[in-house]
Amino acid sequence: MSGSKSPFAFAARLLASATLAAVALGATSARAQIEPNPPPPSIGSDIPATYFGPAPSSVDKFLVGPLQLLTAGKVDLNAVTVTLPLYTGQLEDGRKVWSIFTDTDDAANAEALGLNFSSKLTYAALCGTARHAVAELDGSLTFDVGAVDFSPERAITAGSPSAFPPKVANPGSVGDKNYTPLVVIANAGNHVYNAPMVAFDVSAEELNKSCDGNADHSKVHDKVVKICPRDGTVTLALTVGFSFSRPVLYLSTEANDAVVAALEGATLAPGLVNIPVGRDDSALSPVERIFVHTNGPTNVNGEVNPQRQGLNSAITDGRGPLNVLGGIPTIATDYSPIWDVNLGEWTQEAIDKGYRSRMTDEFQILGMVVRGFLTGPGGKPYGSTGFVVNCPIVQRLL
Amino acid sequence: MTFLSTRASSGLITLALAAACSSGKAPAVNASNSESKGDNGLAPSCKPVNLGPLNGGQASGNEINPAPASIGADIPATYFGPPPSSVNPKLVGPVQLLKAGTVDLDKGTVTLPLYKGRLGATGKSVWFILTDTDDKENADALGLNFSAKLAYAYSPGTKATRTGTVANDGTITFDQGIVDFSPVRKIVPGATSPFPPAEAVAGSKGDADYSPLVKLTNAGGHTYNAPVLAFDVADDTLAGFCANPPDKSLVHDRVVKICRGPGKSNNFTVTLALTTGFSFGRPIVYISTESNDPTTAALEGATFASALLDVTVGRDDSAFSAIERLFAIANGPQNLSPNEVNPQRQGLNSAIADGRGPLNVFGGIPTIATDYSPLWDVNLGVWTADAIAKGYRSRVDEEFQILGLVTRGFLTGPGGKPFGSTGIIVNCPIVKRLL
Repeated sequence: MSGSKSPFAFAARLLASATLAAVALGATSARAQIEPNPPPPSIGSDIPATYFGPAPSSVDKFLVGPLQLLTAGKVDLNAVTVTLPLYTGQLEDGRKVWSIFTDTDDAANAEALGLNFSSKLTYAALCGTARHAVAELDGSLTFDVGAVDFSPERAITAGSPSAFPPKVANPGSVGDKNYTPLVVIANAGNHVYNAPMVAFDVSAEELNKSCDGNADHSKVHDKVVKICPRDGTVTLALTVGFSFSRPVLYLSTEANDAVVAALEGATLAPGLVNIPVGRDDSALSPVERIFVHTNGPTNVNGEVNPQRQGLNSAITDGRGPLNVLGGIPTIATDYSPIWDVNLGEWTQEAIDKGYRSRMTDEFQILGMVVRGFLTGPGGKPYGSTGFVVNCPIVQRLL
Repeated sequence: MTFLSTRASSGLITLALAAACSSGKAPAVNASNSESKGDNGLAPSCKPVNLGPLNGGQASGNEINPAPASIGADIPATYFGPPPSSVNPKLVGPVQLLKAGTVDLDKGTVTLPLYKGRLGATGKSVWFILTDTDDKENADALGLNFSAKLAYAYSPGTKATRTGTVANDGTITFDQGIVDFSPVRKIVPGATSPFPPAEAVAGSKGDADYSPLVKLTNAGGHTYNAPVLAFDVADDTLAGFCANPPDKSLVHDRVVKICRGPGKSNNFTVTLALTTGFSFGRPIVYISTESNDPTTAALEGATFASALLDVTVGRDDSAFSAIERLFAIANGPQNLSPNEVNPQRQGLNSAIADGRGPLNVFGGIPTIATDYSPLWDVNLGVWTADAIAKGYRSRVDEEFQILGLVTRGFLTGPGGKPFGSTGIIVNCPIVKRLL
């Protein structure tokens, strides 16, 4: 489609522009601390929290939360993880596929299964951007294509003089040319499901060794904390971000670019390269926009900066980039788990004037773009980079 | 209950004037009759500010208007779907909440029905608007905001709420409450920083019994928010404020226009200047009509209503609490030069210095939460020197973002005191979510 851009070329340009001074990085998953975790409402009031009424979302899910959206799972806010049902399947050649289900364009079954509904997924099953599968009598799925190699070791080496773009960025898992997390299930109404693979061609017995943790990331997705076919569950690390100023938790499972996949701890999914981007909330657009910053505020002298954000921060301090998602269910109608990465760079003028801060809302960002304080990388026009990330929403913290 | 607030609201008045400089250095500017925009310059200390329009700069700069969604996209705005709020008003907007009125975002105004009632003891005319009620069905029917908390505003033996009755002709007879609109609003910036101001005079003042709230004893005992905009003024006089600027010695400082409509002689509309702010990150516009503190009333262009001192603050969303919290910032970022609006600007120093709004942050409003009240319990935050030195200061637009900064010690109450209720209340009915 004409909206597609060239993510690989873009990444190559970013890497080429990086000065090669390496700083090794660590963190592969969200810290066990939610940085923008809302404090109790009793702060600054004369009454203890016990006297407050329940969250407005208990009256109406569209009101202020917290609100779990991916209700198929159990969220642990202390560990910053979600535990989901682990689904079994196979390729046509018999190799085992272990997946999770997170989103579908089948509204009624989304509700029944506790998945996110995304009407835009109907537009995502384009040639090559979705696998095809058949639901078997035993409930497993047989996929036509798509293998993932989980054996690579994720590695990131910071760039210089700024940490982003990184000098080295190797994703911890790589799909074959046909792998996409999306699947059209022929005998389930031809609906599209988001079914990220978390392990491939490995036995239940082998995976059961990680029922209590210590997941072997050479065999499973880097976000897996625990995986247990015996119990039918997998526990995955969550990422923190914002949607319309609400702090949110989401899964990040695939990207169509190696650098982005490495940064996200996600699988490189070449099958998503051709998904069209840039057309946001228009007809036939399968994506929603996510707003990422290269050079947001970073920590000051080791103290967590309450304004920290962006890829420089994420690479150097190991915390998340605090990306800003567009619409999610219960906030807007335009949710898609396939996020069209809009990469913003604060101008030197904005930084010098003290205008740079953490952004939490799409329109706040677009306002900065209109005024010229945020641009695309290198001062180029702001907009889609061509990268997409597969990030199913899990919970609103507000 | 032991947690009832015992703070004295008068303490805030002292606080607000604590840094007063020697007044009288320069002649006060009578700006309350002026609708001309101030120069947006950085106000020199201890000189009266040239007070601009009371719409928070909305008309002159559209400071908080959301950018078009098409920015950075490959398609023009025409190809985008309608706002999610067209499917469900609780989704991303815009959403007009006070549907009784017509909003003009270009001008930063709302035009509402102007009601004529009378003061029982004297029969003098009382001109007012209706904005909120705890009568859910009639709120829906009339396009007013519903506020369950208003049921807790009436307290026998206090002045928090007036009482009134509905007459056969549909007008309200108020039992109490007189407002004097003759004072001239004036603000003189403080010596070391614009806030607290050295001098602040509200443009209108209620008597001891004046509260914008009225409990209608023969309308289900429900409480309405009915701010008075003119008192004891003839119909024809008000009708003259349609073609000509209103005389602010006769009407509320936020009145932009009063027009007589077709039909009966008391069929009027009033156009009021809106204020801009945020609620849970969403830009909003609202009306600001009264405060129980004279300094705040002056800053807001509102009526000083001491009766609202009888409303208890500090108990936020607990049982019998009539208020919701509003977060004002004393020393948010300011413009660096008169020629450029700082995209992070916010707070009372900014508002006094550049004539734009303070961009206060509301707690819950309808369609966002369940805890809305038009009576806002002002929590005043001050960025610490440490936070400013480290570059942590920015515009804030969401309650829990602010409480997080309080938890970490980067925002405190005035003078480094604990963050919380100041005792000040402002009556600010919500009008519209811009998102």
